[in-house]
Amino acid sequence: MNDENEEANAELKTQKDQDDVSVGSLQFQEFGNGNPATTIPLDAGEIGDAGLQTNRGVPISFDSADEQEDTASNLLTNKRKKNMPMWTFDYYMQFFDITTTQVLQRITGSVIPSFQGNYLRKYIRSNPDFYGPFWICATLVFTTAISGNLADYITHAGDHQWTYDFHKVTAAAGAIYVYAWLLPVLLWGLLWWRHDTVGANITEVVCIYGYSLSIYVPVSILWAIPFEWLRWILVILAAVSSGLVLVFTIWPLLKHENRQMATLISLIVLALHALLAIGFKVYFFGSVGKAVLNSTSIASPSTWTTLTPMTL
Amino acid sequence: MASPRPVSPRFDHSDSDEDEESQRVHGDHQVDESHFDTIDEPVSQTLLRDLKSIGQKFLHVFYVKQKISLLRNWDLWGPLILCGAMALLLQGNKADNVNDGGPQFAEVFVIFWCGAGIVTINSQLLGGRISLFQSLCVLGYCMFPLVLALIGCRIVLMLPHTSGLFVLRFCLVILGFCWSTFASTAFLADTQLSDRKALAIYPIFLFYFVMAWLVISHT
Repeated sequence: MNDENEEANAELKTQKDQDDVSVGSLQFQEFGNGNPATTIPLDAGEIGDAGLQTNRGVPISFDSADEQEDTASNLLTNKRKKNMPMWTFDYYMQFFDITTTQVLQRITGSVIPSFQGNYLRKYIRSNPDFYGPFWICATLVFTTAISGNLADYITHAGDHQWTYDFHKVTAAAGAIYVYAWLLPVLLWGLLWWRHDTVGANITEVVCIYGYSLSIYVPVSILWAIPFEWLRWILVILAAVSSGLVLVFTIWPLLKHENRQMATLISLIVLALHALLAIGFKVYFFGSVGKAVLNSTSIASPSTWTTLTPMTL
Repeated sequence: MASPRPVSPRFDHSDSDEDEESQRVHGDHQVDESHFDTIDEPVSQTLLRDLKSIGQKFLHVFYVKQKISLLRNWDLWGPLILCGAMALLLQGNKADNVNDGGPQFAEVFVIFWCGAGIVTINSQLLGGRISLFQSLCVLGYCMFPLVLALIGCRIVLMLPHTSGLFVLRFCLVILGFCWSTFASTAFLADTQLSDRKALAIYPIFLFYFVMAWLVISHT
């Protein structure tokens, strides 16, 4: 960080010397586009001083080439991480250096697919965080388990012997955390193994995956409504929407691959994303089919249509 | 094995000057008890002083004006009592060993303490100015309304089941949950930076939501 500052200051100084500057006169300096040294040096001081200032001195050049920006950003983030040893608390604080508005922006961005695939560049590149992935996964675990129990309760309405299954929470937690944290590491590892360079560092990939799960939170709450067609529509909509964002975001990282491999990897990513949603639907809410045949309740409308042919 | 730290007798205003001075000096961190000479007083007096402190903290959960008692003079007796009470009351009625779906006794402890720990670590990582034990103390004591709701639910469950009574239980739990969240927010919101308050409060909300779900699902 200090080297970066000195470098930038030195750059500014030499440029000033080259121009004809008299003492006390102001001149606008021309700075080249995409030059990674032209950063505004920020102090690595108080965390969360004010809005944008907390993102530590990353070049925000809007019209630079992708390549330069990638390498510059990687350089800075790698440098930043190396400054603190892994066993201090402060090392982990850098992953939580985020404001409420940024988190909300990232969540909304993860739901709306854009064909330029610039979710990574727009939202995450400056400051990948672990707050979003961790708490979105935690929320998803609990909303899925609670909705599953709620759906179960609704189909058994009137039956007071119904007991809830608390241990579904552990199953849900295992599946979600493995998907959201292990899979990005595997993907990043695969790309790194094949090409020695990946367009994003590992925290950014984890961040993308974590935020892409955010659409499933309201969907899992809506799954409690006991209409099968509604549930399937919700699954498809959510999987397609956030799956597309995921694929569009990851696509630039695959530019070193040939076309078939890149398509294959994208399809696998999309398929696993959809599989997670479908898996939840079947595991937590798929018991509707069995319960209808077994229960003696007549409260819910879906049981009328299936019990009448049986009683005939 | 560490036991919950007993409360130091600093709120007793009839203390001598020496106690006043150590009260100012020792501020937020742990107190070494060698400054307080309680060897001459009867044991009942020592115990009653601690019990009075715990009782006062319970009251301050409802009457949130005075924040100092929970933050500066933190202790973990209250959370332990509440957690134990909750775990006991959430036990199922099935005599046989078949898993009735609810959490076991130890599971409630794990959920409570690990959940509170994770919420605390989160607020520290976000840059909050609160220590681990202070936050655990606040989160534990603010569980009190939910435990009262659970006691209410157990009483309501003794009557024959109707959907009207389910609505009553639901309302009790919602009330307890809202009061718990409100109380802990009142204590902890000030320790966070202004642009991250919602980020720190959301996990607290989630924590009490999960505990409330455990309470309402218990039949």
